[in-house]
Amino acid sequence: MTSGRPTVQLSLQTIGTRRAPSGQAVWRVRRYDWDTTPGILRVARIVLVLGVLLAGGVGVYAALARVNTTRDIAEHLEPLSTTVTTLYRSLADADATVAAGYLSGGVEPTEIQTRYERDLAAATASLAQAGTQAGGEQLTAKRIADITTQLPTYTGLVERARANNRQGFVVGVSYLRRASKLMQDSILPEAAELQQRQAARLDDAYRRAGSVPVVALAACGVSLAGLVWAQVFLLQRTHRVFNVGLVLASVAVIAGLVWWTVAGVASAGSLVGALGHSRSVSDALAPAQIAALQARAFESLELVDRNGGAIEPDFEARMQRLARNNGTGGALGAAQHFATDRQGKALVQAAIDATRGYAAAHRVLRRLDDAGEYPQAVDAAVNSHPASAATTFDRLDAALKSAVEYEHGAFEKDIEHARGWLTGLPAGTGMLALVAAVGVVLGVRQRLEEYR
Amino acid sequence: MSTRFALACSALAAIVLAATAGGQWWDHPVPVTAGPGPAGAVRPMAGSSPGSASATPDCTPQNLLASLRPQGPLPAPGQMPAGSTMARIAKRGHLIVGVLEDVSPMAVRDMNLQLEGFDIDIARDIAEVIFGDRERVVFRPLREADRFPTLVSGQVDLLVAGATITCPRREQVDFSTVYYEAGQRVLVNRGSAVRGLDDLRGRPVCTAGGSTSLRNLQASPAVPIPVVTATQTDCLMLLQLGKVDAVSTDDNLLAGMAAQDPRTEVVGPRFTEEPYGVAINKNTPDLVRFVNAVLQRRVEDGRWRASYEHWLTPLGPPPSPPTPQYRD
Repeated sequence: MTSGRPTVQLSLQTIGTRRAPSGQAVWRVRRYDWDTTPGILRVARIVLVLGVLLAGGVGVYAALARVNTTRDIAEHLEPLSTTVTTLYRSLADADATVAAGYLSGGVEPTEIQTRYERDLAAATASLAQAGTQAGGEQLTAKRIADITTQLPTYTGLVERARANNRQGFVVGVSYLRRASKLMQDSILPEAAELQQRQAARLDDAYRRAGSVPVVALAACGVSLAGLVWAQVFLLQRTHRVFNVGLVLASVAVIAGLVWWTVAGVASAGSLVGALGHSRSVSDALAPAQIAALQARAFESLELVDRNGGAIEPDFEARMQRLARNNGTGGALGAAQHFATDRQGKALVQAAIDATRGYAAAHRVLRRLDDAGEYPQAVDAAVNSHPASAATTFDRLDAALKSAVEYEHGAFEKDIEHARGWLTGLPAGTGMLALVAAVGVVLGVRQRLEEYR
Repeated sequence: MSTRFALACSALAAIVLAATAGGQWWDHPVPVTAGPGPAGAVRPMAGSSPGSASATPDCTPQNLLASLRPQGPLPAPGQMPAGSTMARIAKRGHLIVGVLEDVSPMAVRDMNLQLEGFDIDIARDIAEVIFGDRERVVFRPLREADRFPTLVSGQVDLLVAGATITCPRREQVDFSTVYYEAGQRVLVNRGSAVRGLDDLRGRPVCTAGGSTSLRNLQASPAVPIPVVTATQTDCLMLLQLGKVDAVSTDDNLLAGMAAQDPRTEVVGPRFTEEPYGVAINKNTPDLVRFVNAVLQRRVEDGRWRASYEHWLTPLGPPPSPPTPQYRD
């Protein structure tokens, strides 16, 4: 940039015979320059060099922004998103596990205790991890702190519920209901907010990384147009078809244009794919998991809490959120839309089928309970018979988990592709711009020398 | 004024009361208001029973607790009088009883998820007289609000569900003689300075929402601060968590709570009377007489006392059983 004025003055010194007070002199020199081929060439050289360098700068900047945003998605935002989803899921799973464990009448099966402990460990680890990953993000940090403070209250209530249940004291039910209420009404909504916030940030990043690189492409285009004009001009004035320097510059700019187009389109394509898989998890499959776990928690709570008010509507609402209209609506309906390939769709379909199986098992146990066959209803809820609510629910949970894993794997593949396409783009853009600039300088000098 | 008109009027009154009480109208015979007026007439211990304010010509404080007199000796198991309601039940093979669940010590689940408790003992005793088998009972667990509609619709033969006998309820169903005389008292942590309701002025006292206990607290001259929960058992939790200074409801329920926490005790005198009866459909008076005979016999053979000692020990030694009052 700083070379602009001195270069102009240089041309003034070489050609100018009539030096006058500066402003006017430059104007007159320029007017004079336009009349001769070397003059025009000198100005064109400056403009073209600046043009390709500017285009290169814009390109490098845009490429770096893309690379950084994509890296941010892959290494920061998506992991945080996964952490938050894990947190949300573990909390809901803990609640469903505790409620189901309560049905076993005080002597909880080992696997239930293990699962609850694993959930809590995962939730605690996720909280710590999310706290680190969130960095200075104020609102996220506040939500994390809120959940962290409430979690010990929740576990305390759960332990009292279990201790009372162990002794056959009905007050345990009160503790369980209080714990579950804290989880469902306070902790889980906070986790949901955390997740939505994270999903919004991800969305934004994807938009930035996957947009059409208008500025970079425009800069390339303008530079190329300038180079073409220069060559046409030289052809007319000097009657020489090729100028090696300018051709080299043009090739460099065209290469940049092609590279940007290919890398931009391909990486954007991969990013769109990655976004689809990411949203399939955050907007459809994770909510489906949560809804299923909440439904299961309500189902157990309904069998445990005999006087606390009608719970079946809560169960129904969660099942509707999970899937409705024969699997075309609800979270799983959305997942079906997000799924792009056969395997993804098949996995979602398996989850829809598993939902049907669980709903049927639930109806059986409700019928038993409504008929006054409470022990049989409890048994139908917890036993390991293939058609029991416990088994069918585990099947649903596993189906959702494999769908999530598949989508997450697909996401990682896509984001790696996107990063692959962008590899070398910043450095390459810079190199090509330099080559183009050198080409312009050399090419124009060659012609100018012919006028000496 | 024709009987039909009187019936229509009382039905209308019931609807109005239901509307003002917000759902569980049988627990609120009268809307809660402070100060004098017809509603203010209901004062704990002032009247003889919670239902007295809504007395109709058919139901007065004097005859509220009088139930149909048993006729003759109880038939032997398996030999119910032909055409009787009991014969119909015997033919079905089991008695269907509406109960509340998880209300310690009236009806709770044991380790095998079978119901047991003071109310459950009565239901099983009735089944034993009909079938000679205490197990031939199907318990239909009901939420508090569903008890009377379920009975009236005929889905259960009778309710043994901690139901207080009141006049508005007697317009809907028949009651047996009194099987337990509950009264509202106070549960506190051991070592508490609180020795009764009078020590609770301006302090948080827990009871379940929509209960007669809540109305009594609100009307109490001791002016405690009521803390309302979904179920009475929730109050024990709040007491354990230190959120309230005391729990106040029917003493049998307090006994159930004290049995779950040896660090609590029932203190102070009773300050209300809640006579519990078995609720039976109005169209089966023979069953009412039959149940009354069973209740009378279990008092005579000591089962009432044994059941009391088993379930209500925190209240001290058993009092004398309630004296049955009859009408013909």
